[in-house]
Amino acid sequence: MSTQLAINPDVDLVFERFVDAPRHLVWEALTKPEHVRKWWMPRQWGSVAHCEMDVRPGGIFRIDIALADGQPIPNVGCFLEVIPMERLTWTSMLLPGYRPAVFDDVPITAVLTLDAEGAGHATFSRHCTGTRPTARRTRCRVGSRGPRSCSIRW
Amino acid sequence: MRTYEIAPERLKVAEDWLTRQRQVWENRLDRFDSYVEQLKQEESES
Repeated sequence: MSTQLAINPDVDLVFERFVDAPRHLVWEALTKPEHVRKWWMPRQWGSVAHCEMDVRPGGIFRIDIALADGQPIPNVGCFLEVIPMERLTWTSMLLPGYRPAVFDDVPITAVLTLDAEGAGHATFSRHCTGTRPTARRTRCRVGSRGPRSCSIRW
Repeated sequence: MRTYEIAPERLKVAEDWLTRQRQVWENRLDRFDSYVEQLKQEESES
């Protein structure tokens, strides 16, 4: 199942990566708090203070961070679409349970797709849709393949 | 006239935001890549 979303280069960021690893590992690293808190933040800037992922439509997406000086920054959103091993969509415009959110920061919606590409390969795409005009679009491909690899397109 | 004066500033802010976001995510994806590589090693060892 794949839905092609139209890209608006004024407001969308697109990333594309190859990750040399099996798909299930990629999925786990993306969705399990014990993994997410290890790669989300650069160590010199701070850490993940609280991570909660209820990976189902309407479920909580939460990655609160703490900066080096201890200043906490909340980050709560809502999952919209979950197809295990294939697709993950979340937004900061809604709170869990699809409740409208009030936000100061620029809201984003992320659509993350893992595609199969050849034997044991997967591509993974994510679009970050802001609401400000005049944007820059980025496509980045970093390749590395083995007998069992996963390519990720954000 | 006023709109035209404001717009370039807002566009610059928007551009800056997107540039920053791209940077943040490129770095984040680098870390993600390394982390998944690590998980792969651990899985093959177990």
